[in-house]
Amino acid sequence: MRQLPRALLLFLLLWSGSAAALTVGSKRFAESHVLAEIAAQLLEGEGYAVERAHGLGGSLLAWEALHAGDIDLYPAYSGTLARAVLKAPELAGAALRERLAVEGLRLLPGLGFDNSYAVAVAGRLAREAGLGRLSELAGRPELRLGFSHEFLRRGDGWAALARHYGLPQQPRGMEHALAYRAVAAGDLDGTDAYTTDGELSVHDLVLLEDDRGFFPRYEAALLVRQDLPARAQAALARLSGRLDAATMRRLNYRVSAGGENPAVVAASFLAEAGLATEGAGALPPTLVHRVLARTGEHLQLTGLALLAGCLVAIPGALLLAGRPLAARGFLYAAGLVQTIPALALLALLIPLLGLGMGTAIGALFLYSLLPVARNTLSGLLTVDPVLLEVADGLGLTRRQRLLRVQLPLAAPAVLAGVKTAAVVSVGTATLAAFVGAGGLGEPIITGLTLNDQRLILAGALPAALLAIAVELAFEGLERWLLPAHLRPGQTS
Amino acid sequence: MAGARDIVLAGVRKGWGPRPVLEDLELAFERGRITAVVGRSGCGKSTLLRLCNGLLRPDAGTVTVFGEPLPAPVPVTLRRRIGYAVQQAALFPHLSARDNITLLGRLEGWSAAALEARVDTLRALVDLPADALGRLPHELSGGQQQRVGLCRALFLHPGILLLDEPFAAVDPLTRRDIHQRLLALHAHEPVTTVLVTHDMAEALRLADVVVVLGGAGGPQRHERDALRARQGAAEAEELLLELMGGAAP
Repeated sequence: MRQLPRALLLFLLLWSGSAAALTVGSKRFAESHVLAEIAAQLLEGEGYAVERAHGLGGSLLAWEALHAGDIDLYPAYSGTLARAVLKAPELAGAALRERLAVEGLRLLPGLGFDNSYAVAVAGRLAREAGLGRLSELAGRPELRLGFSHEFLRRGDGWAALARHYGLPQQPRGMEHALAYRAVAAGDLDGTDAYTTDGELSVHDLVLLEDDRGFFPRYEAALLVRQDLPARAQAALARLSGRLDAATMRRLNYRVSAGGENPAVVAASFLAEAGLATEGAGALPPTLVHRVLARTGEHLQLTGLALLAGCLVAIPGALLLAGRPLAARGFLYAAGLVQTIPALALLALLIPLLGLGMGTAIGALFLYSLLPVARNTLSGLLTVDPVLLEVADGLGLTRRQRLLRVQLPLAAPAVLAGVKTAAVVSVGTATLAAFVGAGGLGEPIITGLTLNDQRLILAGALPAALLAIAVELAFEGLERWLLPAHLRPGQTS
Repeated sequence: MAGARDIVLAGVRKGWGPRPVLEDLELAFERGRITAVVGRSGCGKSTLLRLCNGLLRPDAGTVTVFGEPLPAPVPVTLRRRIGYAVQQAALFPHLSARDNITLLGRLEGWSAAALEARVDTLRALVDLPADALGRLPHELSGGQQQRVGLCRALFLHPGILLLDEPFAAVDPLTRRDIHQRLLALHAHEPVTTVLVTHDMAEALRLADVVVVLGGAGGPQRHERDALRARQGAAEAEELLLELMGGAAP
């Protein structure tokens, strides 16, 4: 019995440290996800073990993760790096690459497409009127244009574009998704678009060439750490120039409208492009396998956090049991942590523990402290005072009294606290995916990103079942560990 | 007053409010004898007992145990030479009867054989059935719980045994039986015993000396044999009332 916790700890440590792999990150949209999968599967084809940190919550988070070495690469866009990350919009091409090299990073040659703003017009109009360039819009004031509200408002949006090209039209503001349909139906002649938007591949739309270079370039390329093995960098460089905008639009469409798994889409691209290595990791795992793997990660996250929580909270409570003031302070602090929203706590921990398991476990650990410590303390302090006096009178030391009398009698309360912490942890651990720690939140967040109900359920359902299973497991544990008259709900 | 005195209280005062429960108490308990402390509720009987093993400290005066002033805090080694049993037995509910009895022996590092031998001796003396040893306290009858409590208090061969109304909650027949067992125990191991009770009949049956607390003019000490002679026709309760009130008709 006494060896059990140590063995468990060792097991969990080995388990968590088992794969010292390369980690590919992606941001929270379908294209980033697909590109990351393509890179990951290519590396797997080269024999690397690859972990995925999909759905990182934004460019800065991905950048920080790469900087800290939590991930080894992610798909980036030149314009985003220059503007949003480095705050130096003038940087492009070789200058941008030099600046990144200073940071220990390498922007591989472009994948072959830009994901930037563009103006799309109806294909029929383009063919009939020979419309192919933005500058040609200047002579067509009668054209009915409709733009997304964001594009109309942005400093580098419509107003600047109209000035740059001398455009006379008076555009309307409308929902982006509706604008495509309106153009396709002939109710509108043109609208703003992202060049790789999957929707473009199904509607008859033509992107006008930015012939006077108004829109900044958002060239897609893999951003890697310079310490990534040279062989891996060489393998990834083979992707350069292999993905044109039309191909990317098609892949995006398969994911966002067709509901296909990004891993499947990535695999089929690699096969078409002749980049897939025979049989090596190109075939994505089945849904069941993925759910099982995620469930494993989920249990690992909650298990480690709970173990750490118990190892701190229970001895902590034992130490504090005789010091009411300190105990109150500890509970107050633990209660304060409890009030921090989970996402905020995760964000606070990233600078300390990095992206991934560490931060997720850290947050879950902090959340488990209060229920375990509070229950243990109240269990210790509500032991019948007559029993404590008898223990003193018989000649038990403080320590013996605590360990031989108070703790066993507090066991039901302790166990109830651990149960609460475990069930809450299983639920909260779904947020771990936001920091790339995997778990059952991964399919949920991916599902939300891709608007895929099946994926959401593939995460949410097992998470709910897991919570119930944990509850039942603890009830079993209570029956096994506690004598009948000390169990909750029993009177002695 | 012959013989060594294991516990001596001199000038002891103890109280919580403006009126002390005990004041200027002069009292001694003799080695190897059973002394019953009787008196009405609230007269300070239980307080007196807790002063003897240092669970309470006197506000004034000294408590001397085994010839030495009781140190503060009382070391565990000294506590283990003073057996303690209380009302309702107060057994540890998570431990079997055997584990309750042997707890101190195990803490002292006794061998399994020594533990078993001591359990057997005590069990036989208090007439506790062998199959009761494996049971948890709530599975035992009230009388059995008291017997386990006595065994637990006596396990380490203490020099002093403090009993705080230990038989208050058992039925009269069982009580009479346990009384006999206690006397058998005492004959076997003549430990200095202080028994706090409000039951004069119990005091007269068990004690060599009866101390009456709470009467006017401080505690009165009576040899049992002298009291028995006085008892004569009087009921035990009447005798107690007479002693406490100090106003004999």
